Amino acid sequence: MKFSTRELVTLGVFGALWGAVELSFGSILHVMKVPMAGVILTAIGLAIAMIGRLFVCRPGATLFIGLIAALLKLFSLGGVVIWPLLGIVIEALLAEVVLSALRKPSQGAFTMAGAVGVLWTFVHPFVMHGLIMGSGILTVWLRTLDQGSQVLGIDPSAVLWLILALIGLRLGIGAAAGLLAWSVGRSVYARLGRPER
Amino acid sequence: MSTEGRSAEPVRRLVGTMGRLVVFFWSISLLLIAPPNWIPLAVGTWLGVAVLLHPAALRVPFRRRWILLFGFLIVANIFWVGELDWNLWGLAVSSEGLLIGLQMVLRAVVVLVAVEGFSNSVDIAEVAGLLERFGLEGLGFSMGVAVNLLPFLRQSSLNAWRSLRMKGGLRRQRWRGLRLLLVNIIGNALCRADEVVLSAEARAFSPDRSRIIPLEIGAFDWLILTVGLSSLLALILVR
Amino acid sequence: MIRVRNLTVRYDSGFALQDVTLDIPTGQCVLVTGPSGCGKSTLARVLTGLIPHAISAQFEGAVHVAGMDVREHTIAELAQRVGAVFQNPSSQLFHLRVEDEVAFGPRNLGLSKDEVRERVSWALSATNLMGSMDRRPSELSGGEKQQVAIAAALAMRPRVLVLDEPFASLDMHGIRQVTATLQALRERHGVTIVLIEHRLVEGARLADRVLLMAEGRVIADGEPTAILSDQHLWRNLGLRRLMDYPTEPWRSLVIADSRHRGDLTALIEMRGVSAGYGGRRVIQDINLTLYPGEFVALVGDNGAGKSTLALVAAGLLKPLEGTICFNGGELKQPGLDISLLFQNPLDQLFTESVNEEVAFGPRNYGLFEPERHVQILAEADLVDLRSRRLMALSGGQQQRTAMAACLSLCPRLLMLDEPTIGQDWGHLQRLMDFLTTLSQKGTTILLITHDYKLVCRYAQRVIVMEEGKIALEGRFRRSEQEKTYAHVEAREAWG
Repeated sequence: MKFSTRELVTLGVFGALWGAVELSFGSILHVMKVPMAGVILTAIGLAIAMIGRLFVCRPGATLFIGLIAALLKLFSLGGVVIWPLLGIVIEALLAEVVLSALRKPSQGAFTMAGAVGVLWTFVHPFVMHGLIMGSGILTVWLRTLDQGSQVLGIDPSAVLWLILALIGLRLGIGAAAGLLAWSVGRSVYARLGRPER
Repeated sequence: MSTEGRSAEPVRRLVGTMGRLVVFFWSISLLLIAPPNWIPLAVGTWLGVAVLLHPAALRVPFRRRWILLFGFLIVANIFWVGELDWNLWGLAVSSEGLLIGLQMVLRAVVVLVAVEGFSNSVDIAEVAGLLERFGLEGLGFSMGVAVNLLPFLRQSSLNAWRSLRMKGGLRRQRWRGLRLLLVNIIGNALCRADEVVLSAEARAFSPDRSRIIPLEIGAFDWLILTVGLSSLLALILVR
Repeated sequence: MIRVRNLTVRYDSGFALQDVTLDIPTGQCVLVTGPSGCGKSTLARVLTGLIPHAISAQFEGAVHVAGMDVREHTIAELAQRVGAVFQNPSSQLFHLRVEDEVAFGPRNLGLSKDEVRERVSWALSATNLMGSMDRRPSELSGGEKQQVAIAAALAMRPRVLVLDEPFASLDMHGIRQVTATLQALRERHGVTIVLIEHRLVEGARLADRVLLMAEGRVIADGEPTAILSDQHLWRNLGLRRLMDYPTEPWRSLVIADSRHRGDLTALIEMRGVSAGYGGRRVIQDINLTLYPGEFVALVGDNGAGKSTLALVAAGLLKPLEGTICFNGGELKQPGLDISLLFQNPLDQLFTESVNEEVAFGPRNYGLFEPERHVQILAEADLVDLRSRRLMALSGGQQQRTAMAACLSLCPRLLMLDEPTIGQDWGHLQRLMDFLTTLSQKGTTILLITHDYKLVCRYAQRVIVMEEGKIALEGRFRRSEQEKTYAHVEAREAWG
């Protein structure tokens, strides 16, 4: 993956925008204790990265933007953010995979990439705990789920529905982020007086 | 032109970026390779290295969040994993579960401290340089552009939001307002990008010619690499 | 050192340079100035090879810099002879340490490690930055960042240094730092300097020669004293003359006077106001009253708290302490009662066209009136531009649009934060005349500026801020310099 100077600068600008959202907006959401703050931040960040993909329409661009945002977060806040940092990189990677697989940027590709990228926020805590504590944690989680449903007298299938609802919500938010990215990206093109993609 | 001024001769550190990187991967590999019975020994060895290299990072596992999680892990394991073969203050618990729980906690402590220590002691530009070596060419340059543009972008975004507030904010045209705000922020940022490109080109930058930021190699780095690799190899052979 | 023959450059939008011919000998420092759009920056881009290599433009004529034909040599080759420094320091920084920043160019040239280190040392000592080698550029002040940019250009060992408005975004302290560096480079190292600037006092101190440009041509070329004393020439071009800049601190230019017209009730009253960001107080114990129809200037050094005060007054930043009373009650909505115009108009322009932009605020508040809309467009001289895309407007037109959008909400107090940066005097004069008319109609104007001439000519009251506090409030004292200026103006007016 070799980008031109202009492309590298453009990727730097979009990485900085995602990083700025994480650093500024992220702190605000954290202080306000907004529910699903991580999902909202991921959706906005991915939207920015996908807009960047419209301006640097080459494989690897979305991942590159995600990496810059992640490094900016690490640079500004230190090592404590290593786990969210990995989250940013994987979210960008997932969006990248979808966009690269679908090749030509389109509303559909952006919607799908957004949905897949945001979905990672659901899986992320489990994967991170697995990385830190080993695969044994999975047994602990499953037993906790089992015991929890017994104590609360809930049918285990209801837990499954709850999980599906949480996944669906994330897919919806991600898809909306993709649509927003497509619409905003085209408007930025118009604002700068460049021909639309 | 004359060449006055003292030379900026760099001071060589004892452990450089390469050494710290080796210690990081050695810490993680040690836990993966070591047989369960050896884990306390491996952790003990590793703790010695951590105290020497990044003592500040040893505070991380004592944060409330992690202490709660570790407590939960041990409690969950002693009740739910293995046979309840042991009596602890009148409660039937599993000795196997306790062992597994402790192993998980030790593993978590090692990973947390290793990550914290590595990320706090390594220069971010070198991390970018390191990633460039894995094919992400130009990442260090883009990263530098991003860091230096960050204050401008923050101020410009804040001004745009304040201007929107003065025009009524997101009251009547909520989605349109949000869209326009994003378009404004991104459009202005891209206008600045043109200046950056010209400045870089005026200093002879070209992705084809650019050199990757050199990785700092400390006085003990080669020694650390040798000892680290041989200890892991020995562990594999013993196992 | 520089030889330009019959240079003509044309962009898609029209001619930028027309038949320019000039020679600059080795070691000379040349100040290039002229009104906005006169072709100064295009000349800088040609000398550095960005035109024709990086910017698309039609290029005719011959340009040789340090023995190199800019058309035949690549930018990388030219960069070893010509160093370039641009207006915004943050757009020229790419690294996280000053040392790496300065080493960036030499590394791009593929030089050996030792050579890079030696060049970095030289450039840092030449710019007096040796002590800042390990600092992050983002931690530096504007002046220091610009010095790093100069050091970075010097590390390429250029024989010519081209600086395109290097003082534009700096305060007086920053300008002094950069000027001292350039002076040292010239005297000790014999570097040929091409300085493109609007700010003439600082430029003239350095320059051996002044080139005055207008409409893509060199219209005057000579010694600074000869060119800068030609009052008619400067007046005709709408440019500032040397005397338009303060040579004394603000405090000494203002006579304390807190009297006001007794028949007026206060529009806004701030009592014991303190405010800041993230727990840090930027302004403290501010007591300030503004009256309807006043034209007030708020002056002070960078970081004195002027912009923070404006944000608090506009209701955009909550005070940590104190009370703000607007028209006897509370400020209900930012924008409707009080409006603030930021320095960069693009931060305030959101929609696709001028027409939409001016209508956006009133529509959002549900206050849109077609007649008022048309009237605002006419007052801001935007009727012919109403369908134009905002990015296609000039800086002055963008500023007028941003102001018209503010005025469309009929605020009773309009604050302008540094509207002067990057604008030539002709543009500014038109803006100020418009503001005066507004003030006469009853709108209170608060102008935040460093510009001595604007304050002197337009402000009825001056508020001086120092270190977050109001240090002085009063009338402008006409200095000897200003008296001379007034005398010349009067003489010219009488013909």
